[in-house]
Amino acid sequence: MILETLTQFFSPQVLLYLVVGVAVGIIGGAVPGISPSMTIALLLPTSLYLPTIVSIALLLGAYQGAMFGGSISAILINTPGTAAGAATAMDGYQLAQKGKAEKALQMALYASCTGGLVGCVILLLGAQSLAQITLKFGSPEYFALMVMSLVLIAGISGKSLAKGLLAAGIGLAAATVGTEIIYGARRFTFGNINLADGFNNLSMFIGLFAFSEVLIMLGKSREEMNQKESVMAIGKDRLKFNEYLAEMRNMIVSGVIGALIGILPGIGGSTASFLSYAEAQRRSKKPDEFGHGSLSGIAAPEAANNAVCGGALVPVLTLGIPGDVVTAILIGALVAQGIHPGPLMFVENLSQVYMIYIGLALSIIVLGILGTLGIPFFSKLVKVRKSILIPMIIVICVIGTYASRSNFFDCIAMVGFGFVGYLLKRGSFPLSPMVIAFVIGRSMESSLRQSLILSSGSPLIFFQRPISSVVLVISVIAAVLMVRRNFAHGK
Amino acid sequence: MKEKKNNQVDFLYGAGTVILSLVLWFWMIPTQIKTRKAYFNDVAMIPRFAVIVMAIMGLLLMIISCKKVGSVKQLLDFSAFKANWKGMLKLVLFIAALVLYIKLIPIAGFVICTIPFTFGLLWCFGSKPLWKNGIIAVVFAAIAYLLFMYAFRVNLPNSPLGF
Repeated sequence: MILETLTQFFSPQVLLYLVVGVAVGIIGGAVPGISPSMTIALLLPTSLYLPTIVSIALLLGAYQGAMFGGSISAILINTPGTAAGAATAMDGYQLAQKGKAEKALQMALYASCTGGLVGCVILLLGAQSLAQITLKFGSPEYFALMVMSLVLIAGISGKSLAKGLLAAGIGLAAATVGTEIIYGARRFTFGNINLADGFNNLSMFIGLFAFSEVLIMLGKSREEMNQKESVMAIGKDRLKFNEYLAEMRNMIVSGVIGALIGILPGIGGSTASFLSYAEAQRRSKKPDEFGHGSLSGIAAPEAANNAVCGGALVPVLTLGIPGDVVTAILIGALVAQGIHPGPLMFVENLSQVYMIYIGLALSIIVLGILGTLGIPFFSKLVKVRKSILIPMIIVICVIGTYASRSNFFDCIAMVGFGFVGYLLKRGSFPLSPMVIAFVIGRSMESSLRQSLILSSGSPLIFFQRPISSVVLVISVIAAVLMVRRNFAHGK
Repeated sequence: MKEKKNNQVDFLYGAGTVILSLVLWFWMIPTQIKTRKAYFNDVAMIPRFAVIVMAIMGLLLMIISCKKVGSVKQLLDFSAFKANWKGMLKLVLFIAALVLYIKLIPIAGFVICTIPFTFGLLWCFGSKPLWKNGIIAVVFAAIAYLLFMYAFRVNLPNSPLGF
């Protein structure tokens, strides 16, 4: 079956979209102000009209591409395109100032590819075995796991647990709009037929991640929007093969750190990057060189942030629970394609699991090739003025949202979500708990209510089953610890 | 000063959330959800749960910000708070223009609406010169139309002129 799936990937259409996905991802990551989640949210409408395998290739390509793309602007203009690229800027920009920008970019690229492959291996090893365990889970266990994910994401993704949980509450409330699953009752529809199926996922993703950013940019002056960045020259000093090999151990260790962090909900690429950077510095024979243009200081964070992609797919495939916003958007895309991530995929639709494995591995190879050939071109994109880019993004937000159901009501909902996202960002609220609560809200409700039906309405069912009770106890302990930390810091 | 302002913002967000939760609990849930069962496992259970979480967290934000500033009187002293009316007006006008654009597309067609809208946005964000903005707006609207209409087969509304 794996060979059959592999041959499907070698069709011209799939390869073309894989290249397009990686290229768009690199561009999205490289241009400051455009995040990976924004890039993938804007690509999502396109994927709805493509065959499943093409759509997976496009989105996974964009995911890998965006994680690397962030390092281009980090190295060339000292402005990371992604949060995960911030650690790369520390040494990358120093090297660029010494006229070795090409060497720094090549190190970042090959470290991204190596880390991505480590993440892929961890996905292969972890997902299959974890799925064997999660297949035995019933609705109480699923409910408990979703509660734990939400608590961890709410607590870790922002500085304040209260703000995180408040955002999760809004996401959960938004998920309840529409026809309810067990009795078919309508909730919060105000008699509007457009709300009968609830809010469209795309309206929320595009509104929160793309449109809210546009609203924030409205606050900037015309001069700022029209400013051309001064970019470091690429230089002619290229990365030597032995320099790459010398970083192999560093990249593998960082890749493992990144992939393991990716599995945990809510932590994400930036923590993985900084943690692996610190670990690389600790293990290094020349720790003083870190921060002054060390290749190890570029290899470690880049390997870690691309390895996060593979790790983050483990809970998606085995539980159907996203660990971060990008995987939440990916779940939305997979569901739109008729794929329902979760352990049953490993029994009923193994070919789809292989599609994701192969898609991820091939996207890394394409990233390596495209990056090697395209570094000079992608470097120029850093200079694109926001005053030209943003109007185009606004129109794409509208067409993209309209495209999924050919319904302009979804565009109005997108504007509404964008405004909510804008308000939340202005108040320093994290958006990831809201999106993840929205994505898992319906599954969470069905797990909770199925469990209560099984127990004739008794909530004790969650404490009579060992796994769900342990998970719920961990969630409570985690919440208490985070509240204590927040109170100690007055947040 | 900045910390006090941040706490005041948190307090306002918390108060806003509590008010929203009250509206949801006392008006929207009773009028917008017809509960089928009177016991714990009914259709309004998750909406109620979400509202409770929002209300508690809103209250918590208010309490934490009060605790950090020291007194309620100081917290409610907004004299140093300068409202950015110009920025707010810009935001409202932009959203109104966007909603108008969305409403006009089905009537006037995608291309006809997108060209002036993109041109206006380019000008608004400070892109120069105007003739270049005009070319960008026309080329972008045409490419977006052709790409979505023919490559992705999205049925974008046409104008009475047929495109």
